[in-house]
Amino acid sequence: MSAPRETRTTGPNPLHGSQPADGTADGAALPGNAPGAGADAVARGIPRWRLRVPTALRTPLGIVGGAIIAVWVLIALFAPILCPADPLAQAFPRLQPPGPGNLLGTDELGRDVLSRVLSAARTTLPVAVLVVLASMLAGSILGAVAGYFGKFVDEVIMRLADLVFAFPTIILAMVIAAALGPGLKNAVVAILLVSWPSYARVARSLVMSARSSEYVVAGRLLGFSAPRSLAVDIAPNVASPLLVLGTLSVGEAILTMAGLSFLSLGAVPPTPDWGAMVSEGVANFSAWWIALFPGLAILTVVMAFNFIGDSLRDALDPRTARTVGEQTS
Amino acid sequence: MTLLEIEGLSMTAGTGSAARRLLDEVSFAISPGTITGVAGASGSGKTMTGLSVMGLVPDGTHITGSIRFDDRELVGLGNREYNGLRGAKLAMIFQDPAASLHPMLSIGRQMTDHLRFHTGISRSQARSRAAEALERTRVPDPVGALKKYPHQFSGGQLQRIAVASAIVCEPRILIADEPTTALDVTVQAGVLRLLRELCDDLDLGVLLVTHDFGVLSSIADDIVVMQNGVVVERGPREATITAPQHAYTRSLIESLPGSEVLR
Amino acid sequence: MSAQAPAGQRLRRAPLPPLARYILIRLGISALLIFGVTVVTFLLTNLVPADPAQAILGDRAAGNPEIVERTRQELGLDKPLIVQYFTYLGNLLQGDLGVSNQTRQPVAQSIANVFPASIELGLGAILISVVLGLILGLVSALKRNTAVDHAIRAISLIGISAPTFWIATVAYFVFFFKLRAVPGAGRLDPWLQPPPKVTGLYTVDALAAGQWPVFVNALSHLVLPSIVLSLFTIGLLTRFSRSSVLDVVGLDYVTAARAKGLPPRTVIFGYIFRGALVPIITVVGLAFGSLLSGAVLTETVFAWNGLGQYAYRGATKLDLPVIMGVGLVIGIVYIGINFLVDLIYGFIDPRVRVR
Repeated sequence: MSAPRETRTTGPNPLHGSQPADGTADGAALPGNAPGAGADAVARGIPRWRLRVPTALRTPLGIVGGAIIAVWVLIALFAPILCPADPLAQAFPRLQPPGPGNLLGTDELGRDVLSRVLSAARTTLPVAVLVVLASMLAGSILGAVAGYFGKFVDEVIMRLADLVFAFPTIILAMVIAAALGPGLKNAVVAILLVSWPSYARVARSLVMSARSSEYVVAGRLLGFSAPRSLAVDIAPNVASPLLVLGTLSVGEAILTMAGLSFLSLGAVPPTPDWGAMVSEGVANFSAWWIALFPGLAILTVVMAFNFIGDSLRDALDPRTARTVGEQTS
Repeated sequence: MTLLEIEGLSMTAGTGSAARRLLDEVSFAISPGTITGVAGASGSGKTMTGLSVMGLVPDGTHITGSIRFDDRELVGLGNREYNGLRGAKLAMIFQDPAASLHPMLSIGRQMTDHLRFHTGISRSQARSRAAEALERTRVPDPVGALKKYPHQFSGGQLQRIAVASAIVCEPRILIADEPTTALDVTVQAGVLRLLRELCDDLDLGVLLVTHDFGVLSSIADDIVVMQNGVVVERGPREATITAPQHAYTRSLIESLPGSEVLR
Repeated sequence: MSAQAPAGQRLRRAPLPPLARYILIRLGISALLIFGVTVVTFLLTNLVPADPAQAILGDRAAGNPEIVERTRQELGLDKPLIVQYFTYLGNLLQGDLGVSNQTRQPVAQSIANVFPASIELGLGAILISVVLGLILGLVSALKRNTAVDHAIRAISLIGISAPTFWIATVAYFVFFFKLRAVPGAGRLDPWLQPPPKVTGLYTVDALAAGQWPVFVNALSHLVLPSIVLSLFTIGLLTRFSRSSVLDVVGLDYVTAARAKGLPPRTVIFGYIFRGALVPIITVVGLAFGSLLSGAVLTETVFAWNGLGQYAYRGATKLDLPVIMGVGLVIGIVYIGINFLVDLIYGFIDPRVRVR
């Protein structure tokens, strides 16, 4: 396991000179391919792990993914203006097929499907990103603590992680959400509980390899405390693989959330929600439009996040990408 | 008499303005029963020369020139005909034997699959020939070794096994790409001595690729020195070492430990 | 690793052959995980709901404090937690998973009844996904950066991005409602009698009983659900086998195999694929987990009377014993499958098998 490539030429502390500057491939990301280029970035106050991200996204898949997500973010922001009707109002004839009146038809309660699909983005997107950020934070901290301190702490945290991995994700999320009771908040807690271990595993293995590297040992010898060592010396070097894993997991989080609401364990009706809408569609097979459009919404968003995640992962160095890859598909 | 003659061999990677020359008009010849050593720094094209002879150049590269083996032109030879030569007439061993043997296949399987493919002999005949080859390369308990897997051997023994696998079809040319670089210093000499022995006994033409000029100065008959894809010097060992013509060769010789004594 | 002689001695002195040792360790880990899974379901059933007694009683009786109190005593909720856990574990060992709040049927019995249906669907889907996933992944890797590779990668990305329950709905609508290309819902046409129960898998049982028309009908019902269910895992396996084949193609032993003059077929299947297989097998275990999750979400769409439909009904009615029972069973099955995967891994990799 190696530290992410883009951080190797420059360390966050003055001792980085002891690191071998073998990152020839860094040239692609760092302007000028000079060892000083990274230092310039430091001087400008840009964290090093960010340097590579824009380059990494400049792949066809990354651009398509970014564009789709940009569209959905705009939809989420301006849904109240874009929606032709109130997503909750039962204002139309029931089960109308798509047509000039209701572009995507109406559901069994006479609500406008287009308006419901658009306004569901307002909850789905921020909730998915939040739940990923929260589990990334929790998982990374737990994993970092496990990897840094080892021994008993490591055992307890990693055995808990193993236990979560003993279930298929949606099944454990379903069981937890059911015990907590239906509702968006409980679904979020359930997803949080099932998704932290992926980050913990990656963070642990990255921290374990970073811990024994010279700049961390040197910092410890200078008398840095454990939290300072973790936050200052280690965190910047393990951040980018975790962020890539996070991006890859947004899609998965949306799928899990949709699965839970399909099982009526997510957002409580009448809140518009893609998974729940597909579920309503199953009950009205001949009214295909009720299920088709929310499903397409899920598909496009998840696919876009996977496109971006893939491009980012390709930009990681192979061995780190492997650790990240083992935690996702 | 020459067995393998390389003439004006050039290799380019990429096309158009992005094209890079990896080999530039490389020429030298190998005679049976001799070791031709190719020396040079990494990136000098010495490994690419070896792979070109095997017809295993990387994707996206293009070669021109001529490689003649036994009066057959190898450049441009079809894959099917080439496969008839590879392993059978032209054999190769690699730097790290632990990586060049498949970890999940038994030694016996890896030593007999190409033998059976090239000769069509039965499994038991192939196994006894494989055991003979192992005996020749002095692997202890040859018959037992056939049932084992690579992780059960040390690096030096694995390289002997790789050599045995290479000579089991009785090839004419053996290309050894840095065969001792990944080995312990203590076993390097043994593997080199084995190569010399096989070369003499089987009348093999050996192409020994190495960055270690010391290795060449001890066992090669002819020496080829390469730099940036170009052959800068070639000739018999004594002449090359005592009267190097090119500055790069001189720097290689001077960097040898004890070279002051040689003077 | 030293010379063979010491290795041989070590082998003779060792109390257990390496493979047996390996199997025992994996078995121990699986047992521990199953124990952990029971703790999880216990805690979720007995601690997390605001009041488990009320959760079990449902809305009707929960308003009556007397009934709630009586139920608490019946359930042993007044006893210490550890005692409650061992009571729970004891019940589990006797095959008691509680009683459904909705139907008042024992959960264990219901699960036993519907389980074979899910196994049949799962086997169909895993077969399709493994075959297609490995082939597509291999082709994609060997034709890297060609149009074929890009197409396969795009398709597999869509496969892992589409919600299975939605694909199921769309596929059912198109292939049944519109095209009538497949028979309708369920495992068998309604006028056919299920074959005599041996395994509970209709296709297998029909074959065993020699009922050819029943077999054909059961198979035709199985096709669409298994394909739909396998789309996600095909994507998963394709992506993974592509990357693990790519990891292998550049290795020295592949160049060495080519240098031996072996025909491409032998190089690809004998060397490259075999080298890529170990990581792929691990993912097949994971894929089975996705299939189990997928089944819970799709069986309802196809009115496939299996574990998934049972779980769906339990979830929509918030029938806690049913959900926990299904969770527990799926958790144990998943652990069992991963144990099997570890076993296969041990058998095919000599580095585990012989030391």
